Amino acid sequence: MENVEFLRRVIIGIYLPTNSWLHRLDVRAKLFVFLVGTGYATFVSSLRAQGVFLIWVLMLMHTARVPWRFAWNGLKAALPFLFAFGVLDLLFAPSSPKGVICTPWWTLGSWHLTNCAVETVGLLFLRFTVLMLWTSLLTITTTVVELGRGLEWYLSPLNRWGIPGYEVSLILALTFRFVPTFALEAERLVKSQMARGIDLGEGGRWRFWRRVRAMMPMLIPFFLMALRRAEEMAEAMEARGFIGVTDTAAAENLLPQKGGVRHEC
Amino acid sequence: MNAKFSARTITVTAALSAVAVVLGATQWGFIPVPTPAGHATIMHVPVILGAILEGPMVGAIIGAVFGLYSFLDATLPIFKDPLVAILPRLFIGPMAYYAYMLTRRWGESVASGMAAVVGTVTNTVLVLGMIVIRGYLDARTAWAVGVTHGLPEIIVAALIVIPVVLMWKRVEFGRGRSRL
Repeated sequence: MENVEFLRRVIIGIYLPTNSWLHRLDVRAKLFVFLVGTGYATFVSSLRAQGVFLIWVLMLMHTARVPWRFAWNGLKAALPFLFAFGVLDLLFAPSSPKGVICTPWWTLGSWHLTNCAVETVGLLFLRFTVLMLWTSLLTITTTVVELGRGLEWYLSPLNRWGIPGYEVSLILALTFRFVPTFALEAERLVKSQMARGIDLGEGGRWRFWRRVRAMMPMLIPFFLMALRRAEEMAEAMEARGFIGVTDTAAAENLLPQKGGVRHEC
Repeated sequence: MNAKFSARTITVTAALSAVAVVLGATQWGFIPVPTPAGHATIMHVPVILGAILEGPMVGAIIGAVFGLYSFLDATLPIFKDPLVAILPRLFIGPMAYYAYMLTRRWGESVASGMAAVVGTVTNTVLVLGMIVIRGYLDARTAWAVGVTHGLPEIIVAALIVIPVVLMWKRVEFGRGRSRL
């Protein structure tokens, strides 16, 4: 029964309030550094550079007072997949990429284990370890609401080029609002079907069809419920005279404002 | 400033983005299949629905939210690469929308079924394509994953998208409402 308690499971990342300097840092600065760091970890293909970045991330985690156990728990879940991909890469990846001279370390029939293959797998391991720790550092030190506000700030200038920045930030705010409501609705749908004796077929991967057939009477009403909620909210917004987007959300709160508050409604 | 999006477009986009997040966070959107990764996902279905009901831009925004969520909350390490997690998801909505518009003359159910197929194939092909381009898997393994995951995902997506679109449009036109 515990696995249908959906509301308890809708957590995007885990926020850990240790009130460190990273927690107090302006969310816009955090997002900027996060984007630069993500780009670096994604595109740099040097083992040494990734190693240096990993040390820097670990130092940041230490100064943010994140317990090591906490960071390790996040990584632990990904380790089996990392190992699986590593093995697949060693088995199937070309042992000597074009234009690179590789030294074979071990040969088994037509398969060679070369230093290039080992380096590729090492880089894969390091890159994903860095990215896992890096994203969890952001979610540990920043609440989802703060993240939304930060994104809103970065999106607002896009309006000038025809990209609806304000609308996108309103959509994000509404999404956060809808998530717990929908989780509760989903829980209600599953529980009501369970009360009717539905078999969710948790047991095996081979019971695909059975599982699909059991899910349909819950998934279709779930999607329709979401659309109905959206329709109701749109009517409520229009009834209150919504014709554009106001910027009052930013006024309440987390971003320091300069000058007056913009009203565009 | 006049809003470029109507209130309805904004709320439908937000609601379907929230559906994608809930499907992922509760693991409800994962259907077990007999493959190494263990499950087929239906988290892209709200993107297809958004594109059919509100247009390609809405599809792209829901795709971005879905991508961002899978990037921030991934347990599968490959999705910690934003080029794999976010970029391909932006194309699901527009592709599904154009498939829907091109096949609309053959009826609503055929068109929404085509949108489901094209949207799902876009997701699978672009994500796996990016995984191969980034060098995380070789092409042969990616093919195997694509076929074993893509087919169940296409079937489930079509099974959800067709009835939801038909029911929703009928409600909108005021025909099929139940009377007490």
